[in-house]
Amino acid sequence: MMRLGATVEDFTLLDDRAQPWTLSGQRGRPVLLIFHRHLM
Amino acid sequence: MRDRLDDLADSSIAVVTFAGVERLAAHREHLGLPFSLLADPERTVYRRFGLDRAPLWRVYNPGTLRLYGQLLARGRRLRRPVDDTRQLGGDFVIDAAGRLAAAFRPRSPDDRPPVDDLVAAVRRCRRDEPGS
Repeated sequence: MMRLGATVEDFTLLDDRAQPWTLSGQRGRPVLLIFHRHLM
Repeated sequence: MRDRLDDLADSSIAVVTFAGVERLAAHREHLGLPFSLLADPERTVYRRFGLDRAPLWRVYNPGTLRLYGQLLARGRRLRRPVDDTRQLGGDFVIDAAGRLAAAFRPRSPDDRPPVDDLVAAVRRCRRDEPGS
């Protein structure tokens, strides 16, 4: 399990325009990641 | 969350879903999201952040049922789920240097943190940055 303070391994996911979004591309500002559940 | 976006103006916000890319545009429109919506259909990143599937008894616990009841009372329409209802969500803050600064891994769907807690976690990142 990822620990607080540890460097988060980079990852790339596609966004809603099918464009790659990479965590390392956000370097320089805080990132808030919200993992969604299913839609009701 | 939407009314706190000004507090998060110099942050990057992304919602990760396990829906496929082809469904994201409709998801984004349905949710009215002003920020990135990302597809993780294999749930690789979900697992990397320790977000697993919960047992049914935890998913449909009294707190979750109460939450659904409250949403119904507010006029929210519930749809038959087409996705995995057991997949848990979570919220994480990563600082500007790429380190995990905060982690909220709920044990059930009704256990998500208040938006104020997320905003506070992002603010702590800014405060702790060198030169800030």
